[in-house]
Amino acid sequence: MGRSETAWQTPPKLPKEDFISNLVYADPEIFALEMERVKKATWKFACHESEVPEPFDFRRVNHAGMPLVVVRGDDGAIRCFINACSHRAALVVREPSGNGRQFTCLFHHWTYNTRGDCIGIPREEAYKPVGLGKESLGLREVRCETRLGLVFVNLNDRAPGLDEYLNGALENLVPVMGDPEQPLEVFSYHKTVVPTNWKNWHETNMDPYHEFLHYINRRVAMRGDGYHERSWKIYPGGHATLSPMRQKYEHIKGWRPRDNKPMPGIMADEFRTVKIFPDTNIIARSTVMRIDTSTPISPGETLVELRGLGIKGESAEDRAMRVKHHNQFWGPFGRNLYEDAHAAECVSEVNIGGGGSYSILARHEGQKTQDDVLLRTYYQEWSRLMGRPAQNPKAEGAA
Amino acid sequence: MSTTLPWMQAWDLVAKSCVYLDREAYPDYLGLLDDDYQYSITCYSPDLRKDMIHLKVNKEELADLVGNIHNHIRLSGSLFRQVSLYSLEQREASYDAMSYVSVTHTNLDGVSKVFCVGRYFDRIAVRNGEVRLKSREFRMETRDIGAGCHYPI
Repeated sequence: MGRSETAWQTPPKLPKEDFISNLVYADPEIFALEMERVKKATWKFACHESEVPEPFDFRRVNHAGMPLVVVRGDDGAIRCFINACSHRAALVVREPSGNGRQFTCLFHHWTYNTRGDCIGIPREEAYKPVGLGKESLGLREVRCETRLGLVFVNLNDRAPGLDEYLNGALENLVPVMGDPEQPLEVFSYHKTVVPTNWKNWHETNMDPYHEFLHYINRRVAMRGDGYHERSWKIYPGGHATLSPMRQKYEHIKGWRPRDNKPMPGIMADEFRTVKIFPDTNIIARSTVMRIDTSTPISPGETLVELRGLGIKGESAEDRAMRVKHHNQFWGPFGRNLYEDAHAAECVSEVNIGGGGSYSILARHEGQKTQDDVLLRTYYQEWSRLMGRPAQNPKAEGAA
Repeated sequence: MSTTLPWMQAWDLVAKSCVYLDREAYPDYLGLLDDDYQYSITCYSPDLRKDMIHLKVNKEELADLVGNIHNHIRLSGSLFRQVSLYSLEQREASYDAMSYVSVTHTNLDGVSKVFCVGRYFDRIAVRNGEVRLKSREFRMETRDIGAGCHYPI
């Protein structure tokens, strides 16, 4: 029988880690707070270094509602700035990417170099009576560090360093992304606004229990050897990896095993994944890699960005193979993307309308594949940063 | 423009391909295709400053793809393809047709929105008086198609 209104609104009789309030997905006040306490306090994957390969290359990105620009300087260093003129806060860089030795704001022509220095102010002498000059009007620099080609940024100058933040969570990617002889490059970039909460999107990456949703995964992954026996490794800070397995691509009509030229350090047919708190997921599917990350727009809207990666300088034939394998799953015409996005959308439609009360994270399988341990860990870290328990997220200071 | 392929015959082929795709009448659509047909969806990424391929399949792979749609959670509602044939030029034994394409998606609530726009670059073969599509590149101007879809446009 169905539940009454009171029963529906009563927290589940479960240990507190085993459920969360669905207000975390829908409440505007919580959304605003998590931009400050979670998003702006943590390191964010911004782009891959191959997106700014040459000196003076730049790439616009967004983080926590903030327009940023990642730039490779004349010294080869990758830096990040808030993409806002020091004068009146107009966008300084308007193109998605490009190459330029200096950036000139369209509004009043204030100009900056790729190190963020203000190098030009038209009729600057009018500011002298109040003591303003170029030397104090550089762009706001954002902390920016690169590991394994992954460019991370952090808006909080007082936050722990990137290595302390990651706690070794990239270790499984070192053979794949850290080979200087085989650097990677992004060949596919796709972004879209999904009508869902940003955590709902990331949950599709953290929750293998949802793989029943995917026709491809049911055949390729769940029929593979040891699918349910893999183990989660949880790192401090809410990051995680899942032990690898070989998948059966030949279980899809017309597909073949991915046993030719896998990515560096990857076995034929191997599936490997790394989750970086709070919003980034990296997957290797033998011959190709995907990175996805998200930027919240509102409680029910999320900008999702997906990148496909191959090996820089590889033959056209090898690249074509990786592109094909990428597109079988991912990209706007991939066979998995719509399913994940639609599932996240379905959850959000209910939560934004107030129709959901609590989400259950109570699968316990010895930290194996479909154990909810990563979801529980994720919301423990979220609660710690928010200073509020995900089970009762309106309660300040009760985490 | 000089061609021995009557404009209306090319137009009829392009139009039929759209009608069959709109109806998801895939056996009929596949019947319009040459055996060595190649289909691709491409676009230019200003983010990467590179061309990208979102889908590239031959006839057999395309048949497998559409034959599996029913197994997937898929974009619901319907797509309407509005097409204008802009040019038709002879290229040795085949013809190149270029059409402007606007695709409208109508959801299950009856709300219609532009899904994507772009151009078809079709190569058309004439065999024994019958026309067949040898290849189609759907070159998208649109880059954000929402959650996506996994069937041909």
